[in-house]
Amino acid sequence: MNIWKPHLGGRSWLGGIAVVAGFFLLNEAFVHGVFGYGLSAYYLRVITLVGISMVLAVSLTLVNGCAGQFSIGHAGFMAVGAYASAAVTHFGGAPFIALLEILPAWPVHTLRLWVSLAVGAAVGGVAGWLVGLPTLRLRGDYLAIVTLGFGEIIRVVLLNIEPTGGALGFTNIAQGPEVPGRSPDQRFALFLEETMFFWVALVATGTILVVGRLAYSSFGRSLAAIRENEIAAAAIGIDTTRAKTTAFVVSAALTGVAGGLYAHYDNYLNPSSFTFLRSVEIVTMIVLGGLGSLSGAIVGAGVLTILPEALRDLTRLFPPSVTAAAPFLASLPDYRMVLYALLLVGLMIARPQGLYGRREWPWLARLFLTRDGEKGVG
Amino acid sequence: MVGEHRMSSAMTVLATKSTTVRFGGLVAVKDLDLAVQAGQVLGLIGPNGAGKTTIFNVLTGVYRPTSGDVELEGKSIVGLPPHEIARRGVARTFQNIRLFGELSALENVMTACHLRSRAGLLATMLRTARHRAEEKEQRDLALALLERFDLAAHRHAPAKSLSYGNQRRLEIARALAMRPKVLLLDEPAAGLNPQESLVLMRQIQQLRDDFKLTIVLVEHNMRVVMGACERIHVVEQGQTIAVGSPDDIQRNPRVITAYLGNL
Ligand SMILES: Nc1ncnc2c1ncn2[C@@H]1O[C@H](COP(=O)(O)OP(=O)(O)OP(=O)(O)O)[C@@H](O)[C@H]1O
Ligand SMILES: [Mg+2]
Repeated sequence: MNIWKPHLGGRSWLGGIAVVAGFFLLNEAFVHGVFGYGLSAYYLRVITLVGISMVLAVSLTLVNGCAGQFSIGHAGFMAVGAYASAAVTHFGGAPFIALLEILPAWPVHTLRLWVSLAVGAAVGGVAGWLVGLPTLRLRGDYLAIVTLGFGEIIRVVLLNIEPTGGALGFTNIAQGPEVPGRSPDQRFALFLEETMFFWVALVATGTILVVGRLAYSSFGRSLAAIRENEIAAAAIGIDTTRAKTTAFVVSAALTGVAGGLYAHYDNYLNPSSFTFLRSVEIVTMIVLGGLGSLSGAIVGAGVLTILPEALRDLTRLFPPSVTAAAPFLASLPDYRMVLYALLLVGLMIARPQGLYGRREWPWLARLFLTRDGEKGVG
Repeated sequence: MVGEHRMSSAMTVLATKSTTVRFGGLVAVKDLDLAVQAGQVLGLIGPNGAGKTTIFNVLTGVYRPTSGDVELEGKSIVGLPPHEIARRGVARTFQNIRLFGELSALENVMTACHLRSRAGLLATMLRTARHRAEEKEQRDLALALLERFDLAAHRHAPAKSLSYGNQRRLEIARALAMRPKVLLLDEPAAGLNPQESLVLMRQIQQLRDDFKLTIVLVEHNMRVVMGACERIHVVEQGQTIAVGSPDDIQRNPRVITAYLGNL
């Protein structure tokens, strides 16, 4: 028997190719308006950010949802991954620019992006290991406190590192450092501008697949056991510290990739993007969606990224006669964050278990479960 | 064959050697020598607060003894983490049931099958054939165990929704899924009705035979203890007051005093 034969045999490769091709066509449509489906830069930005949020929410699900631990510092791992991968791109561009002389452009750019994202993942994962190993031994709320502290420390450190811009922010990441008397190399920056939607979509899909398959497996059941009763989990032989640390490292690495995507999408980073509020936002996404449900994390990421934007356009819902009669309605968008908060409070009162509880969309669950699969819960 | 059986049944699987456990000023277990012979069903009894659960916690590594030794198959296990002791073959149930409430009955048992899982994280992500074979193997074993404890019909129900008696049985099924050498049962009949207790009593020796187990039973229901155990160890205030066969114990004046008070 071939041990490495993947789940659906040949068909899963076909599916993979179809997904990649689909994202590629969507990217062409959105960016270049091929097929007449061009999106304004604004909408393209919102949906790309939704994709990055999905990576963040889904990877946090592994820790906060599946294993029942409570990390409120994932912005720190995002920041670490973002700055690490941005630094590789910014300072390590020379070999790739040299390669451009002998190879076609897109494979070189692709390789360059992947190398940077891989570094983001590695640095995020190592940070996760350093934070997780000492704290996950302990029960209770230590992890929350330590991750909170970690997030803030990272932010303050980044504010003070000069080569990556400090408080002014890290600019022209893709162009590389400025060399007097030479114009910057724009080629990689342009490539990113035109393809980031594709890469984000691809990574988001990969993250969902990886986390889902971990969550709905023997490993995922171990995490669930720890969440439900840690003493009993240890009593049946689960190395609870090891399982929690593994989940935490995988989560932090994926969060690092999300940071890397974010850095390359904006071509700019600022430490103020990675405050405590960002961590809370990611936690809110998965609580809103239903802790432990990947479907919920996906929807939560979408809702929480789109809602604040959608509320900007609120006044357009009213015809001019209405806003003329009640002028205060015209200033509603100024209160959009208040409305946003009220909507969240309302939703959590109406559905305290989140939108999806612990359930999954059946079509999504099918990607995670083994073939003879009865349902396994993560 | 017969000789071999005698040999192994005379062997001590699990033992405490002058073990003491203190909680601050309170001495919960004092200089305890407990020896569990292979293949035996040993009853561990004593009045409330005698230290029975504490002894289980020491045997499974939840507590570290203040002094003295704990040996599994002749090797000291003091200081080993609970999961390591579990992996070496000591399984237990809990006096206050500790199931994985949100997980289904089937998943509760499957979690305990993970010890035989060889597929790593990468294989899990790729859903390799080996991973799938293992998942199926775990599911089959778990289903067989549920079957045995009349729980198959409830396999998809969350553990917390089961009746008390079913929860107690599910906990035993989960412990057995580890394929342990020693099974520690902490008041498995608590909360069961007399009918269920009787069934349980009959099941205990059967389990020992079928799964080649050694069983330590903590139980207040004397009918269950006397019916299921071959040997009984009585503790009071953390100290041994008697060891012997059920008949000896029932006639032992110190035991009677411990249970009924000085009349
Ligand atoms: N973690 C702990 N901290 C402090 N004291 C403890 C702890 N665990 C047990 N004790 C004390 O140790 C003594 C023995 O308790 P233990 O639970 O072992 O008794 P038991 O024989 O199991 O009683 P029961 O039959 O009521 O279950 C009791 O006085 C108890 O209060
Ligand atoms: Mg007790």
